[in-house]
Amino acid sequence: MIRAASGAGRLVPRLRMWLCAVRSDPSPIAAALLAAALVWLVLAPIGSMLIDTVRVQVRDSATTGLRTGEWTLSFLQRTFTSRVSGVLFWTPLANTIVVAALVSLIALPLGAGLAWLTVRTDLPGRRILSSVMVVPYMLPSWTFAVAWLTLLKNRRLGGLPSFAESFGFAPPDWLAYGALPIVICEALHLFPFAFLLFGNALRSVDTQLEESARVLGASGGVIARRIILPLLRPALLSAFLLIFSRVLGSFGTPYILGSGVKFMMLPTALYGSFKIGSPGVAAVIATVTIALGISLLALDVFFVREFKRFVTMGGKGSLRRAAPLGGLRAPAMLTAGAACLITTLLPLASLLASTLMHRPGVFRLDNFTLDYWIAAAIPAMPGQRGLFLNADIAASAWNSLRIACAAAVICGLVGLFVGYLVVRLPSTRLGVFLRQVSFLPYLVPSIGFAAACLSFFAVARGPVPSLYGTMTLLVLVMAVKYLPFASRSGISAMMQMGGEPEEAARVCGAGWLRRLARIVVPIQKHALVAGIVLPFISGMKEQSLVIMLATPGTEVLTTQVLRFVDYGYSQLANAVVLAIVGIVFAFTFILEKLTGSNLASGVSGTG
Amino acid sequence: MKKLVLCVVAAFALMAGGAKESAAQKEAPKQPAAPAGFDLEQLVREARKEGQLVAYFTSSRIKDVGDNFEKKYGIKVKGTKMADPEQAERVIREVDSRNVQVDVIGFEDGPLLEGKLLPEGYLVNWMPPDLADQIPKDDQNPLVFLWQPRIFGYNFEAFGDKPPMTNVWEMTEARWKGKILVRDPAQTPANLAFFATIASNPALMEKAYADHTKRKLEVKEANAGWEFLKRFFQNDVVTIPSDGDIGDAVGAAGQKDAPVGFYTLTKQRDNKTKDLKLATMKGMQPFMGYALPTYALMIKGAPHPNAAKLFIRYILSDGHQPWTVRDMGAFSPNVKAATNPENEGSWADWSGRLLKLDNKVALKLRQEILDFWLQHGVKK
Repeated sequence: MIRAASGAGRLVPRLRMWLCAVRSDPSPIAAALLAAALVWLVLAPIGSMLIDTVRVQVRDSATTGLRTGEWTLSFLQRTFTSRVSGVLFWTPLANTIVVAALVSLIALPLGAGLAWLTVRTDLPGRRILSSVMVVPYMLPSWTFAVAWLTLLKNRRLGGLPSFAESFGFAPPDWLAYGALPIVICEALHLFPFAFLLFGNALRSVDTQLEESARVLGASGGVIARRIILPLLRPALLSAFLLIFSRVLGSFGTPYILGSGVKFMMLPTALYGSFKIGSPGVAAVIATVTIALGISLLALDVFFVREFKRFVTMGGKGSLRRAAPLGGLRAPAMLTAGAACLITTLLPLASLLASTLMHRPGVFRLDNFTLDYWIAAAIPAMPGQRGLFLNADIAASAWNSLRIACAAAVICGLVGLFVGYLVVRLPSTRLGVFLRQVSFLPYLVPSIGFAAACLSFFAVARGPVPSLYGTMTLLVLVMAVKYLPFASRSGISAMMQMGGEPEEAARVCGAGWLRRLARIVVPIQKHALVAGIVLPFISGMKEQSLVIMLATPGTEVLTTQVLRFVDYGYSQLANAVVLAIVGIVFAFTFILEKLTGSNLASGVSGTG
Repeated sequence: MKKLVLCVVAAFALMAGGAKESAAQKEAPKQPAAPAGFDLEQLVREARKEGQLVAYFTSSRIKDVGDNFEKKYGIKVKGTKMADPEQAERVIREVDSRNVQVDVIGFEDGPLLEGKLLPEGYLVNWMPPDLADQIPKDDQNPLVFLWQPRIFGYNFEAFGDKPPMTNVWEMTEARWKGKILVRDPAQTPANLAFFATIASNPALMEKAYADHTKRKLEVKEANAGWEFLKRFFQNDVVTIPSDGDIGDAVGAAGQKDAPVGFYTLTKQRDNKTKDLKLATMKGMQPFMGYALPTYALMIKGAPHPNAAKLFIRYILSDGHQPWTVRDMGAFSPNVKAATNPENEGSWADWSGRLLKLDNKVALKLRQEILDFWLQHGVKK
């Protein structure tokens, strides 16, 4: 027996030992399976999209004379080198890069400045500012775009007048539509991310460094320039890359503000090609979008690893010195107050005002109306009723809730599970791989990912039927896309939980599943809730993901808004936006109260 | 004893069946005698058993029509307004994935229909047999249920009763740069078909030019039709998502220098409800616009086929009223159909003023026209 301890002889006892270990703790198998599933759910659709770039689909066969199913390079040629490639692809690409750069230029200093004011100064009301700055996160990204049109559109596209026009001022085209409004609206939506990232970074800078500098006689300015700013470089880079990739994948704002003046960006170019009936070209644009998004965020992950040496959070409590503002107090408060107003109150107020008037901006008594909220029939909109009586809107709302809830619960549970596996795994290579794979969906821009999933799941594959037109598809795509949020919070939560309770339970004879259900989940209640609430909020306001996937049977609130915008039913569109915001606020409030958790800390941890 | 019971049961069955038949007959007392083989009552019965009908139509009035249909036959209709490209996408995907959810569509992309969707079996053309003598042969396959003039119109408050343009070539002139509103050709297949038909009628365009300017046309593109399109696109044509928006923009009151627009005639019904000042370009040469057909077809594998057939028959017989009688600007192909008095003529009159689309040519030239538009109309 002892002599056979070499080569194949060692294999069987090893296998038996492994099987024994795995029976009491099947984590490695679960991790392997989960990693494989995630890889498949993200890479298979992308692969399908790649195939679509060189294979003819039905719509293309009608206009190109090629047969359905034939292989061809014509879509690549049409998108990159043909006479119309400029209009179809290169100009939108250039526009996207320029817009993203400008947005970063505005959002980063704004976010950093406010973060510094909140964390490092004695600004009065900074705690309120902190909580209020979470609100823009809860608004759909295109809320500002809809509010902008309500306030500033002109006659070029016809329809109801804007507030500006009713006050006698006709905004020029470059102010009402196109690059300028898109940049401003995206910046207003995205600067809270910069705010949160910088705030976190500032909070985690070890004050010991500053204290030492102060002891050595450095002034406040020198400390800020030579110590704090360099330490913020990772946050700066992270915020920049995050903003860039969000602009790359965001559909609503460029659609609402750009299509009328033919200012196309990659997401709207993708959608436009898809809608015209050129799925081949759409597939090429989607592939480029995905490739760009992945490279940008891979850079982010790479740099964060590089900058690990910048982590300076010390465990010791330290005296946080708030820099006195003195004479700058008033201007600072003004700026902060203006930021709050513009990013939260102004868009919501203008939307609300427009839903109460027949013609926006005309302040006559007979122009005010509750029609768009409670009327049984609206003359200008055949077949539509006010929001609270509207069966279509109610159905969409119900769909939104169901889909967001289902996706959120799946996300929360799987995210926590991922956290558990990553932290507990005895073999770190599998753990690291699972951690990286769980972030994979984050790298893919939303609209590109939706196009890829449509391409892959709309066809029956083996035992899995076609998911086209089903709610399952929407739930699946959302759950996969938001998993990174939940995983991140799951991992950081599990890192803080020691292994002792589980060990004790194991010793007492509890099986693996029972340990998970009775020990891990109850202790990690808060992380689980955060892992559910954040995807739920994202799901309720998600548009870029669903715009390609929702059908009339699976219409959700965000696609309903676009439908109303397309029909010219502005008041109903605005009312639905407010409904989305209202539902999100209500649910968040209820959940916070029920579980005693604080959303702001959750958002900052995963922003 | 058994025989007695059987007789009684049979008698009851006969009476009950008879009662139902007479009830159905009471609902539709004026139905003409159906040709042999087509049983309307049978169709209604089958349709009622099937459940809710799902319809995608390009017109928002599908909701009203659906409600009327429900009132008459007791079958609910889930009608959704949807643009042509989206309808085509859905139909193709649903049929290909064998998960058909829609039963009947009201669709305007004739070229795609004739060139692809019908021949390859995505859609099924069903002509109600008992209406065969009421619908012109040309409109039966594929089945047209609505004709609309899509015409050039202007603001009569700004320009008076006399239209500011008498010839289509005026739209290529500098005076109208940036002042012509049309539906985005990239999203409106019917407009692409219109341009394709122009490109394949060079003689017509050349004569119109000669009539208007008394000079010979200098043709730099392939023919006079393409020359017109190039100059037209390069005149900063503004694209608008919908006919309603075009109507609102052109017809808004209080404009001194109003734009002109290319929209469906029916938008002029908003003159009353929204105080718009829309009027058609009467007498424009060589055409005022084109004849836009809306086709009604069933989807292959539809879950409620009999309800779909009944609905198609309904909108061809008396169900078209919300489109053609209650509102102006649309015509049913049914020769017995009533029309709206404000229509400025019958369909026969209008046919003389409009260009008729050639679906086969339009499909062949679609990509070329689209690229031509992208090159000349979109690039600044």
